[in-house]
Amino acid sequence: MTDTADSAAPTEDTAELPSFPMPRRCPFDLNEQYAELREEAPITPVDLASGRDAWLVTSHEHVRTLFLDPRLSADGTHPTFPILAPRRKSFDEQARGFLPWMDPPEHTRYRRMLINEFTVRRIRAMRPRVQAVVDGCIDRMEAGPRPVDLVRALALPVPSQTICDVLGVPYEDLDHIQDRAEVMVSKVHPPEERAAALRDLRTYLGDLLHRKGREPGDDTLSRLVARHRAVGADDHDHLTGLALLILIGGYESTASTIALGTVALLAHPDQAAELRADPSLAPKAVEELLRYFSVADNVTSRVSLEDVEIGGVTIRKGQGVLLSNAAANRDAAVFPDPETLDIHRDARQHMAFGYGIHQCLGQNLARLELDVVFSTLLRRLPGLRLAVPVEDLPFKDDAIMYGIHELPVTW
Amino acid sequence: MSAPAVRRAVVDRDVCVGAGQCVLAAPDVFDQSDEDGLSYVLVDPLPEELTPSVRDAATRCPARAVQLEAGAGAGAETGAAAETGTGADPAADRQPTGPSPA
Ligand code: HEM
Ligand code: SF4
Repeated sequence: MTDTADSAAPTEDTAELPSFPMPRRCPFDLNEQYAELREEAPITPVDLASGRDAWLVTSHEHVRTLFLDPRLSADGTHPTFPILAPRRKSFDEQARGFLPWMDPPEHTRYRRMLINEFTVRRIRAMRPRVQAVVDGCIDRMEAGPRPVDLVRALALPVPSQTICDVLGVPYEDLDHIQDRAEVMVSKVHPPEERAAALRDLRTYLGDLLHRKGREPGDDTLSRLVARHRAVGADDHDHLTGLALLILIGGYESTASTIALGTVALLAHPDQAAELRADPSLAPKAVEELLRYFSVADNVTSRVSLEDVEIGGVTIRKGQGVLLSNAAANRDAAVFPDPETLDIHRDARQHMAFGYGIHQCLGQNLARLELDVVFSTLLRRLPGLRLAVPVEDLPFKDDAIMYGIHELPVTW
Repeated sequence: MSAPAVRRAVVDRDVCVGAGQCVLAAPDVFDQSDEDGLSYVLVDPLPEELTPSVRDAATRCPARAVQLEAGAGAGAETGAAAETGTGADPAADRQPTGPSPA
């Protein structure tokens, strides 16, 4: 009974199910139904736009426990994986080497080829380079006309230039990459164009990896090629997938957090003033902004490989599970007064980077970029303000990654 | 149990995923190796005043790789046990792999 196709549905009665994701109440807050669900049914069946349904988990405790459960698989190509929207067949083919979808032992093998590139120490040593990137962006903002779109002027270039530095991607290729990456994640381009952009990026990186193999430099891609050879794995497709993931994995998420974080700081001028006066508050402020926006809420999905009993329900083998890190990050049991932005709170238990074996590999790089961006922006442009009212900002309400399309600012 | 317990911080390197949370939580106790990025313990046994930072690291470690061992053979506190005290956490059932050779 548990092995039939029916088992992919948490309940027979699908007529009344709430749908996921639920529209936000406002740019800063989630739909109020998440809090109600957390109280009454923290693990509850929901409907997805893909036509599949799944268990939605909204409490910090259960999300965390399930992130650690080895019976849940991250394999996005699994036939009953809770995909949010219908997707094209060719997509699974493109997923080769996609670390977030691997399960152990494959996941362990590939992740271990990367982790020493992202240690706390290595990332700390990058601070001067990130600072130079941020200063360069603000120099150009100061020299140009106002108002200026902060997304194009700062939020996107900081993560893309930084990751090119890390990977050893030549700066002169950045425009091409940025253009392709933007098309790939945009909603306005048709699916064929987006698929073509992804193919272009794979081709570009594949060629670059061959070059790094022949003429290694002091960068992550060169070391990745060498390490790959050392363990006898010469699967070029897999390697290209890993490189692609690092190149674009942290691009939109970091950019979104920069743009949204700026809006939040401008909406809370007292907290912005404290941060400007005391930059040592930045690490705490960054954790709080990560918690508050949880931009990557929709990526932490799993499918159960066995029956799992938790919180009074049974997640059957084959059923999908949505571990809502945004909902968990608004759980009052862990974050008192969760809807209030408070840069002084201890937000470190947030799961905006996920939890368990897939927890974000680039998290310390993202923290560094956010820290440098917010402290530098407040210091160098103390008169920064929105050029349009908050209500008029184009928030990405229905994108996979939460964010803002455009953020006109002046000072 | 009357004398102050000798405690040790332990990292299960088979489980570690290199997220560096332990280094952020307890920089005096943990470091990530340049070689493989995995965490290792800098001080053994653990000075009493560093115990809270290790508990913090154990709770934050996303792989439950950090343990606080209370003396020889006295069992271990994992992040799960220290935090919730329930057996509901599946990681709590995982068998510790024991001290690594080296
Ligand atoms: C604010 C910025 C960021 C956010 C909110 C974020 C969020 C996340 C989340 C939630 C996951 C876990 C997915 C899951 O459990 O299924 C993840 C994984 C990952 N992230 Fe990030 N990320 C950010 C920045 C970055 C950066 C800068 C990089 C690259 C340098 C990066 C690379 C990765 C990789 C490679 C994984 C897969 C890890 C694995 O599966 O083992 N991320 N990220
Ligand atoms: S926090 Fe856990 S997984 Fe991360 S480096 Fe430390 S021991 Fe390893």
